[in-house]
Amino acid sequence: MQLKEAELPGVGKKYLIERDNGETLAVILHNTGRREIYKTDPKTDVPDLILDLGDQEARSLGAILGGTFFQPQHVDSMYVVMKELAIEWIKLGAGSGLIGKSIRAQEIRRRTGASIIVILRGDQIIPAPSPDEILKTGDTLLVVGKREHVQNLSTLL
Amino acid sequence: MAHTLFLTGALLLLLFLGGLLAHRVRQSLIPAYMIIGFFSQSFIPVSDGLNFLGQLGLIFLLFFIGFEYSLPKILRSGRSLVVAGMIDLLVNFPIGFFIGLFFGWSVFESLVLGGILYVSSTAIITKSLIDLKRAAHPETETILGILVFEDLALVVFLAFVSGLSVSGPLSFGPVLLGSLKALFFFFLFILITRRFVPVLNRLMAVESPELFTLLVFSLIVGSSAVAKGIGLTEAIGGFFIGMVIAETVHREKIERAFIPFRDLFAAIFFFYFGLSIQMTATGPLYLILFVLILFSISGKLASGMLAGWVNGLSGRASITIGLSMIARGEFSIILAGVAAASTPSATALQAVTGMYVFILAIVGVLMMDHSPRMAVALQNPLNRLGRFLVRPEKNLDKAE
Repeated sequence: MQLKEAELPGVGKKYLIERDNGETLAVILHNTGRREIYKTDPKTDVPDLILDLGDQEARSLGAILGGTFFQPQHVDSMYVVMKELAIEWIKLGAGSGLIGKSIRAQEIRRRTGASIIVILRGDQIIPAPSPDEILKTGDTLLVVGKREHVQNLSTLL
Repeated sequence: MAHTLFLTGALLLLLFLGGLLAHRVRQSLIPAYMIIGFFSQSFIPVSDGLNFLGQLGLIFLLFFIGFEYSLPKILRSGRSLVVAGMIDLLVNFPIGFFIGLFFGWSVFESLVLGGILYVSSTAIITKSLIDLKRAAHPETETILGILVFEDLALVVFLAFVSGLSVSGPLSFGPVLLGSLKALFFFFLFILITRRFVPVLNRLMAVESPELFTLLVFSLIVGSSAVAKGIGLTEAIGGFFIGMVIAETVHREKIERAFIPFRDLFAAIFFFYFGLSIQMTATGPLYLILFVLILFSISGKLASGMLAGWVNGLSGRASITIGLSMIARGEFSIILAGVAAASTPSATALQAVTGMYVFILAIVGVLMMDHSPRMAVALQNPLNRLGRFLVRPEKNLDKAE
């Protein structure tokens, strides 16, 4: 992949991304704040407009593509750190030692210091799960605690 | 007083309606403003007040051109555009100059005509490129580069022309003096940019938006007055102060506060140009107009294709450059306006320019609209012509 930048006086800026498959993506940042994305097939030199976004839309899309917004189901682990506090999404893989037992039985909070505040299970969202909730394969846990607490829990996996 | 207010209100309403109509048929506003001015001649008199507002429009137009083209920006996009820009200049400027001489115009008027024919409309072409979703096309970079080159060349030319301001035959003295004045002004402002941008930053950091507006306005008008004072056009003053102010940290604030001023006054400038066109002589004017338009279109087609070819673009892209450079607009009118202000005998020049810009602004937009299909249609015959022209040389190479 190659990235090129060019000035378009009176229009804005152009970024060219040459993809490995020969296509070229052109992103135009208009001075007005509009963004356009064009795609050029290797056979021609005429770009096709594929997306035309307002400023706010473009920022949202950019955040999603950059991984700042997240779809927890598709992300294995993600950190949001505010000074001491850490919030992490932890996905329970098939071999994890936490699976098949309740939160209470494993004494998760006492052993690690971290709390499970949300469980995502398929389409189901379980906020503030009860201590008797049994963890299953494929669950994604939203875990809060001090940084070392969250790390402790990660090691239990 | 009530009458003046009524006329001003009517004028602005007319401009709005005309602009709206132009917008609906996807045409540029510049020819619309001008034609409204032309047809308002029967009931709106040419007045000093309107003239003054129009002059402010001229200053603000140039101010924002200087503002857009800050020096570092130009240097960054430079290099390849210089070659394309030179081709464009060397092909198109002489066409207008020699047509002027051929029809018996003075050397001064012919020079101005060269400039009028040479400079494409940045406003019209840039807007069309955005509207037609062609910002990402490979040739667009070259088109915009040529436009930047043209505008800068025209600023230098404008300084030169306004420094001359003669109606008789040109002689060495005034030409030299005019060039020196323009150079002096140029270096003065480079010096100011270097030294005084930090000072301006602090000075312009006033919190009150009202005081900010007053300060910037006074800088713009003051700079124009200096230019006018040393015998250049006020537009040059606007351009240079625009370049200087663009380097300050207050860029965005100025853009927000002053673009409405430009839009209002520039509309009056184009209107006033149309209003003051005098259609006294007719016969030969239509002939010269016809010749000018014919040669303008072919000249830009040729220079555009050459520029594309030199920059290594495809045949389609090169033809598209030629087809996209045809619209003439604001700068042609500015040149004719400045020339008419300095030489009272330039009425023919003004009338021809008015009609010329009106026709080519519309034709230019249409050509851009249809350029994808036209490029395909032109490609094959041009390729054949190219092969026909190039083949003898190839044979020679082989013979060696």
